[in-house]
Amino acid sequence: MARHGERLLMAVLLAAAGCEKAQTGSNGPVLLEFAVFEGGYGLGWHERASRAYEEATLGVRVSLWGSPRVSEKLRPRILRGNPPEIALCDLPIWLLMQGGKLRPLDLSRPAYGQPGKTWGDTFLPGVLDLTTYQGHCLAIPTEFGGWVIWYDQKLWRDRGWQVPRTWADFERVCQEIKRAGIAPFAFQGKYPSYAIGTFFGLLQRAGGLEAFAATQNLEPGAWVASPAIQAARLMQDIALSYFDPNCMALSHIESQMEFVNRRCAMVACGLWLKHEMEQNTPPDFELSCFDLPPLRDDVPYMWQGGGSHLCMVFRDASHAEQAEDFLRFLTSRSNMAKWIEHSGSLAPVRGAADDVALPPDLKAAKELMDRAAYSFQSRLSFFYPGLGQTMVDQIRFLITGQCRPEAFCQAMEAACQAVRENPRIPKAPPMEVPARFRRASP
Amino acid sequence: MRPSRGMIAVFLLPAVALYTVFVLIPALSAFGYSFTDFTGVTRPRWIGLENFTELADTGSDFTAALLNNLFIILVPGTATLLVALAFAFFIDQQLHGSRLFRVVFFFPNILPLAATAALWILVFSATDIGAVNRVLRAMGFAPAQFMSSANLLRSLVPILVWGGAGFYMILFLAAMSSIPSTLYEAARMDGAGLWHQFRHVTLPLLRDTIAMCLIFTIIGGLKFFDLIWIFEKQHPTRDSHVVATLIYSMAFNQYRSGYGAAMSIVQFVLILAVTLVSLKLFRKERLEY
Repeated sequence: MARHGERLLMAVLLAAAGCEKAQTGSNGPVLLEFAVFEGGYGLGWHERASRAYEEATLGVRVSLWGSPRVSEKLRPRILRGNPPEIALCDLPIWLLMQGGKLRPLDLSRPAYGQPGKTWGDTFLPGVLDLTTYQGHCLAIPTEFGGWVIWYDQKLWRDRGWQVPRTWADFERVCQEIKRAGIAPFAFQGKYPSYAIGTFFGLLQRAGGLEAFAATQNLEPGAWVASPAIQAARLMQDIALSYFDPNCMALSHIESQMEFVNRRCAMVACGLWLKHEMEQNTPPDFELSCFDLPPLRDDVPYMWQGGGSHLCMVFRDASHAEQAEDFLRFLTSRSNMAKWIEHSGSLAPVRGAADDVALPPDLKAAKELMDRAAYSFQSRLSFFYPGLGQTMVDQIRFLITGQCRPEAFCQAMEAACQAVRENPRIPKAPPMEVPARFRRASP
Repeated sequence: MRPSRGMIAVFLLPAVALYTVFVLIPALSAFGYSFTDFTGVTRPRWIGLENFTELADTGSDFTAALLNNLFIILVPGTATLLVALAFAFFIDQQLHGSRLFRVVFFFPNILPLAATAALWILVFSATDIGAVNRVLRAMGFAPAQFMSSANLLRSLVPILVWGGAGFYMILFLAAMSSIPSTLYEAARMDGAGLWHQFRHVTLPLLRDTIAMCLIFTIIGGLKFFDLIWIFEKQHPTRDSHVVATLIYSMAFNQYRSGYGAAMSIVQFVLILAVTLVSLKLFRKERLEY
C-alpha cells in the first residue's frame, strides 16, 4: 500500500515537472482497470505482469481484479458504456466484435523487447485468425490451448504398452488395456463437449484440413460427407468400446481422478489437465501426452490447438490506447515465457517456450506443436453458441449409442443449415485453408 | 386511533419503492426484451413475436424442458404428497414414537440445498464414494449411472420425496388436528376401521389442504431449478433441462437474453394460470364442522 502511494506521488511529481508520461488528458496517473477471470490459474501471473508494467511505464497504474463471475459482472457495465480498459474472460467476443465494442488493435506497433519485429510478427501462425474481423484484430490470446491424449508413462512402461503410431496400434493398445482390467479412456461425461475435441481430431485425420474447414464454414453437405461420417463412427466406437463405463455420470474432476488414480489409462483433455489435477496426482505419476494417430498416409499431421484466454480492450474505455500498450507488454515474449512457467501450458507467441525449461509433459506437448504442419481449432461455439450447444447434445447421443453415426451427422447438417438460412445470425468470416493443404480430390 | 392516509403512505413507501426497483421494473423490462434479439452485451433490436414463435415449435428445447417440468410435477410431486399424507395420518394416530418421526421427517427441510445435494451425491455417485453403487458392486452388479443426464430426472424422485414430504406432512398434520374427534368416534361406532376412517372422514375434510398442497407442488414444479443445476454442474442437457435452467442457459451461456425473457414470460403466464385456477378452487363451497 505504501509502495503504491510512493509510486503515485512520484508519478504526480514527475508529471508536474513535465517528464515523459502516458497520455492521460489530465494531470493524474492513468488508471488501467484489468478484469480477469479467476479460475484454476489464479491471478499470480497477471499481478506480476501488471506491477512490471507499472515499473516500466511512468504514470500508469494497473488496477487488477479477478472473479470467477467476471463476465456476469462486466455485462451491465458494457451496456452502460463504462467497461474496464482490459478484460480477460469468456465474454461473447464475437458479439462484442459485431457490436463495435472492442478496440481494433494495431499489430504494426513494435514488439516489446524484440527490436525489428512488429507486435503481429511475434504470434504463432493462425492464432489471431479467430479474432480478426474485417481486417482488424480485436482480441489477443494469452495462451495456446492444445488437445492431447494424456497417459502415465510409468503405468504404460510397467504394463509394456506402447504409444500408438498408427490406428492399428491404437486399437491394439486399447484392447490390451481393456484385457488388463483397466478402462482405456476416462471421459468427462457430465461435459459431453469434451468429446468434440476428439471428434474434430478424427475428422481432420479422416478428411484433412479441408473437411474440417467445411464443417466450420457451414458448407452444405460437409457433415454428411464421408470424412464426417467416418469420424462419427470412430468416435462412437471409441466411446462404446473404450470409455470408462461409468463416465457419463462423472464430472471432469471425478473422471480425471479415475485417470490419475490409474483406473483409466488415458484421458483426452486440454493442456490445463496437469494444473487442474496437480493436488491429486500421485508423486510417481509420469504425465505425458500423444495425439490421435493418422488414419490416412496422405493427410499431414496437424495438432488441434489455438489461441485461448482471449484478452480484449474496450473501445469505450477511458484509456483504451494505454490499455493496448499494456496488452502489447502482457503478450511480450518474456511475459509469455513467464506464463508458461506459471501455468504449465503453452503460449501463442513464437519462441516463448524456448526460453523456459519445460517439464516432461509440456515438452511432449511442445513436440506435437513443433511436429505439426498446421494447427486447427473448432470455431463453432465461438461464432454460433446455439450450434455449439446442439453439437454438445448430439455428441452425447453419439457417444452413448443413443443415435447412429449417420443420424448424428444428419442432425448436425440440419443444424448448420438452420444457422446458414437464418438471416438474423451473423455469419463468421470463412476459415481459410492454406493452398498447400488443399487436395485435388477429397 | 386510526392512522392517517399520509402516514400509511409514508410507511408503505420504502417497501413499494424496493418492490418497484427490484421486481416490477425488471419484470417489465423482461417483458420488453422478450420482443427483441437482446444478447446481454449489445443493443437489443425489435423482432416482434419471433421468440414466441420459436417457443411454440413442438420440437424446441423449450417443449422438452416443459415436459421435464411436467414429469417433476407428476411423479415426484404426486409421490411426495402421498407419502406426506401417509406419514401425517400415522403420526396423527399418536403411535409410540410419533413425536420423533415428526422431527425426523421434517429434518430435510432445514438442510441447506447445497448440503442436500452433497448428501445425495454420496448416495448416488458413480465413483467409490457412492453408497448405492458400492452395494451394487459388492453384490456383483455393474454400477448404475444415477447422476448421468439421461437418468437424472428419475434419480431426483427419491431426493424430492425425501426433501419435500416433511413439509407437506406438517401441513396435513395441522389440518388433521383440527378435525373434531367426535367424527372419528361416530365412524368407529358405525364399525369403520382405520382405512374407512381415513377414506371417509380424514380425506374429505382435508380437501382444502390437499388443494393448497397440489398448488404448491405445481408451482414448485414449474419453477424447479436448483438441484438440476447443481447435479448437472451448470450444464444441463436436453434430457435434464427444465424451463428455469433453460432460461438461465439461454440468457447467460448462449447470449440469447431476449429468447430467455420470452421463456420467462411464458413460465410466468403458466404459473399465473395455476394460481388463478387455485384461487377459484379455494373460493368454492367450504365444509363447515
